[in-house]
Order: sequence, then structure tokens, then C-alpha cells
Amino acid sequence: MRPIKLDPDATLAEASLWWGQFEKSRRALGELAAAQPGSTPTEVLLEVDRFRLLRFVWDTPPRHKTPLLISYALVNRHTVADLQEDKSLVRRLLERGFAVYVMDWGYPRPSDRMLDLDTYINEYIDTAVDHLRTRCGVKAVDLLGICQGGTLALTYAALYPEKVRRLVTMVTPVDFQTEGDRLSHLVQEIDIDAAVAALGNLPGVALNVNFNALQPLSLNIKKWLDSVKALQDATSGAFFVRMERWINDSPDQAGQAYREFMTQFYQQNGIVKNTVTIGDRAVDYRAVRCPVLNIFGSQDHLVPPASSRALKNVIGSDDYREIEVPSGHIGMYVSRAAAKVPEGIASWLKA
Amino acid sequence: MTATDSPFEAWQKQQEVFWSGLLGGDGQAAAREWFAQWSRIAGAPAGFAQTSVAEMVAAPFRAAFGNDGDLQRFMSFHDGVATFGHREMGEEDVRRLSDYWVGLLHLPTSRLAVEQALIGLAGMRTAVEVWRASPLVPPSSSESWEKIYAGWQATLQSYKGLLDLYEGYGRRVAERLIADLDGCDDEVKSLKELFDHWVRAAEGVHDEIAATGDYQQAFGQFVNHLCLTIKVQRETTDGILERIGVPTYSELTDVHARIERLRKEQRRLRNGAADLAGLLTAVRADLEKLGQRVEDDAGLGDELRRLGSELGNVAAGMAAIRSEVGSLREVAESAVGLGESVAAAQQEIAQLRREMEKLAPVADAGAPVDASPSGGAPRRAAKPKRKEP
Repeated sequence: MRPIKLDPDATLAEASLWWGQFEKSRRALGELAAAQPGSTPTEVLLEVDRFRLLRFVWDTPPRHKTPLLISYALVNRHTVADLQEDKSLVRRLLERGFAVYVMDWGYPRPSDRMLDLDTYINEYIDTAVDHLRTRCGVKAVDLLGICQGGTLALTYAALYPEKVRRLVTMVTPVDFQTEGDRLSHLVQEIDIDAAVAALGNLPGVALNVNFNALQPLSLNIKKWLDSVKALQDATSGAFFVRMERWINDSPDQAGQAYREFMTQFYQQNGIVKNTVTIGDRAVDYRAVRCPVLNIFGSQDHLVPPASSRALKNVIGSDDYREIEVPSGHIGMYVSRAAAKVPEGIASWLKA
Repeated sequence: MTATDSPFEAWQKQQEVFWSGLLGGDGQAAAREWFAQWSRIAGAPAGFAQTSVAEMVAAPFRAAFGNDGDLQRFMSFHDGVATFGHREMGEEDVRRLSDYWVGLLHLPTSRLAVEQALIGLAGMRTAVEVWRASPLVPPSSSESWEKIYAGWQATLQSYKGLLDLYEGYGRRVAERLIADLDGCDDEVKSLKELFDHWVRAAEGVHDEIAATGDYQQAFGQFVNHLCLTIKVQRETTDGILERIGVPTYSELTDVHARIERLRKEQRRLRNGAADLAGLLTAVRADLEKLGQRVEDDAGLGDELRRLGSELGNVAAGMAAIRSEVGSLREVAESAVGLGESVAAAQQEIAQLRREMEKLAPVADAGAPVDASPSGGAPRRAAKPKRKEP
């Protein structure tokens, strides 16, 4: 065993150092208040209700004709994929000549609580895809689905296979009942119908509380202690503030869509069992026959690797590839380990 | 922490104790300020103007409790209904009430959570009783609230059962920490390093407990009863609103459901129109293709016209031939008639010749003029020239 040898003087010095850093971090916070996630300008191409289709504006024209459309999760915002210039999946793809677009789901209001997955998939995504097909003069687009947005993109690809040329999924849950999926474990006994009936929309902040509860000490105490160190330097401090802003930027979840997602995917494991119904259409995931690239984090505690890996066995595509990144869920966008992800996506899309 | 503290107040005090212990007396205030600043910065994107984490968590729930998210307006209205004579339950009371409930959302990561929940339950009961005293609250809601209290008692009992799972929690964390440190060669000389090891060990044990079926069931029961509580609260609010003639949450829900149905119908019609437009486009394209083919087949048309013309020529030729045949027939008939005439003439000539022979001795003076040398019939007139078609 490693002996614990805490020298009193050294410990006092360590505490003093931390105290000094803490004082400095207080001052730094005031200067960093303006740091916001999102580094690339966007142009609004389409608006339906609160939904918007955005184009990332880039100086040089794209070299690849097929548009790349990002489908991010309904929980949290897509800005994490473009957090800041040196940590931006979007920028790396733009630099490689792709025309990148993103679907901005907006912030559901209480009056949006009846919005369901039918509207999200068959109206919002389909409208965006059709718009890009017309705009770019292509029969099908490339879809990049991230986290829950990957599940939506996968479902869309199963419903409209003719409109998707290639599908990339990142940290996307597919098998919602794998060993070690603590989030899934905890929601199995919850009466989702009652929750939606009581709350209308699910408060995004409440979801964050639950996410934090999976690692209560790391995320409620250790993170704050560590942040003091991060705030010593303007660059790392700004990064930390942007991340915090992004984490707390949690839109409420439209009640009906939340109900359908939790029951059909989490509780009934509908993708693996091929039992999902969107609107009045049954989804057959074997209809996904386009090439598929599946990227997941080996240390992801929100979407365990086994959950993402299940994709291979539910789709009908013979052209399936995986990239396993040694990172967690959020590290997929911002960690050093994930630096090769954009190139992996770009080279696969070009192949 | 006192028995009247809400879970959030208890939680905040616990945080203060934590920071205070870590930083000393002055550090506590500094830490609170620091944390408040963090909350302002991090919470701003979501549109919150809170100065504490508790506020940040409470706000959306407060919004959800209210009529279509506008609790503040409702409370002003509520306060303004002076004729009902009840002003004891002000906005601040409702704020506290909702905070109690929000506090119950905290997950039981330790025994403290259950204790907080019990305190919260007591606080909730007190606050609700004050509220229920209002003449605005329909008496019929009493039964629902009694069920809610009973349900909370049962829920918290099952949470108490979870305490068994946390028995020896500290010992298990220590064992895990030792196991974590085992096999490593370097000494732990830093307080921070030891702290990180402890966090890892403590969360590992917590995760083991959270993975059990008992925890899953108790957690589900807890959340479900919390939602039921909110539902009853909402129904009570609806009862008040009905009494004062304001649209209720459930009525708005119906309206939203209808709007959504209309929206789907609109999409169906739009898609139908799009399908029809697609069909028309396809028909138009077919027509254009046909027109193009006609243009491309202009040579064929000429050919057809040429053939038609030739057919006309052929027909005219046929008519001419037919006419010629008719003429030939006439000629043939004429020839037959002529032949008969010739034969008759020949007979007549033969008769004349015989008569001349009889008369020859009588008149030797001249020979017959047009007689053939062979003594046959006279040569026919030239055949009529054939008509050209």
C-alpha cells in the first residue's frame, strides 16, 4: 500500500497556496464573465416555431458538395461542438472543406409541452434535410448525430433512408439497458406519464441535478475545488467558464417528446427491440443501409460504450465502422484525446 | 441546521460549514460570494437571475407550479383578491413552499438526504396547512392532501430502508480507498491527492448502492410521489382558479393538445398538398417530355407526311390504273365489236367476192382496190393510243 505521509508544514503550504489561488480566482471570475460558448458565426436558413436551421459561416467555399447536418441532443445546446476556436469540432470540419449546418431546437416554453418526437423528427429534421437537399442540389445529406441527437438522427435515417447519404453517430445511446448504465437504471421505476402530467415540460435544471447525482462528489465538490486552479490562467479560466455556461444552459424538455423518449427508448429499449413508433409510423432500424460511422468514449458514464456499440447489430448497413476515443462524454468534444475525431469523421465522409 | 429549515436551507448551511471548515471564518463569506458569482455567470445563459444554486434549481419548478409558467402574475392577482380576505399566504410563502418540494428532489447520496426530506416534509405540511386555510382553496382538496402526506410517509419509510444499504458506508469507503492505494509505489504526500482518492472511493461505493434494485425502487417511488404532490398542488391551484374565473392549467393543456392536433393536421394537409404538387410536377414533366419527343420526332412527322403523300400518289395511281383498265375494257369491247364488224365485213366481202367471181367474166375491166394480197381481210385501223395515267 502507498503510505500516506502528509507533512504538516507541507500540508499547510498546500492549503496556503490554494487560498492564494482562490483569492485570485475570485478576481478572475469578474473578468471572465463575458466568455461565451460558440466561436463560429452562424446564419439562419430556416425557422419553424422555435426550431432553426443554422449554417456555420466560413470564409472559404466548401470543397464537398454534400452538406453535413448536425443533430444535437435536446438536452443542453449544440454550442459544445463549437465551444471556442481551438476546441471546436465544427471549425475542424469547416477547415476540411465541409459545409456544416446545425439544427437548433430552441428553448421550449410551457406552451410547447405537447411537442412530440413526431414533430421533432418528421417535421423539424425532415424540413431541414429537404431544405438542404434543395439548396445544395443533392439527393441526400450527411447526418452527424450527437448524444440524444444521434438517436434522433438514427431514427430519421431509418424513416427516410433515401435522404441520408452517410450517418455519423457520436456518443449515441442505442441499447438503453446495458450493464453499468446508471442513468437508465434509475429511471426504470419512474412513472414518466405522471411526471409529465405534473410538470408539463421537464425542467432542464432538474435533469442537470440528476446528471450530477451520478457523480455527486466529483461534480458538486471536487469540480469547484479544481476550478480554482483552472482560473489562475486566463486561457484555461475562459475555457472553464465557457464549459460551465454550456453545462448550465439546459433547455427544458418538451413534455410529450420527453415522455416518448423516456418510455420508448429508456424503459422499453425500443431501438434494440425494433419497437419504436414515431407519429403513426413504426420505425424499422434495419432500413438504415447507408454507411455508418459510430464514435464513442471508452470512459463515458452517461452513454456507456456498450450502449453505443449496439448500433452495429440493429441497422441493416454492411458498411459500419467504429472509432473508440479514450475520453468521457463531454471529453469527446474538448479533450486532447478527442483531437483526432474531426479528421476521423472527415476522412470517412470523403471515402 | 434547525428543525424548521427547508432542505435547501439545510443544504446551504451544510455548504457553509464545509467552506468554513475548509477556509476558516473569513473564507466562508468569500466562498459564498464566489459561489454566488459562479451561479450568476453559469446560470445566465438559461435566463436565470439567481444568486444561488438553490434559486437556480427552484426557478423552473416554481414556473411549472404556476399557471402556464407565470406564478408571479398569478400571485399578484391572488393577493389582489382582497374580497376573499386572505393575504397571509404571500409570494414569499409560496416561494418557500416550492423550495421545500424542490429540496425533496435531492438524491439520497447519504443519510443526510433522508433527514432533509423528513424536515422538508414537516415544513411542507406546515406551509400547505397555511395555504389550505385560505377560503380560495376548495375544501375537496383536503382528501387529496391527506393522501399526499400519507404517501410521503410511506415513501420516506422506504428511504429509511435504504439506510441499511448505507450501513457501514464509511467503512466501505475506507476499504475501497485502501484498495485503491494498494499496489501503488509512491507515497501520498498531498492533501489534494488524498482528497481525490477519497472522492473516487466514495463515489465507487455510492455507485454500488445505486446499482441495487432497492435503490432503484426507492428512487422511483420518491420521484413518483414528488410528481404526484406537484399534481395535487396543481389541481388545487386549478380549483382556486375555477372559483375566480381564470382559465386553469388543465384547460390550457386541452388547448395545447388541440393546437398540436391541428398542427399535425396542417402538416398532413401540407404534405398532401406537397404530394399533389409533386404529382402535378410529374405530370407537367411528362407533358414536357412528350412535347420534347414531338419536337425531336419532327423528322418522323415529315416522313409520315411524305408517306401520306406517297400513299395519295399511290391511290391516284391506282385510280388511274383503274381508269386505264376501264378504257382498256372499252377498247376491248370496241375491239370485239370491231372484230364482229370485220367478220361481218369479211363475210360480206367473201360474199361480194363470190358474186364478183360470178360476175368476173362479165366485167374484166378492173381488180378490187383494198384487197389483201393473201386475199384476207383488209388491214385494221391503227390501235388507239393508250391513255397515260
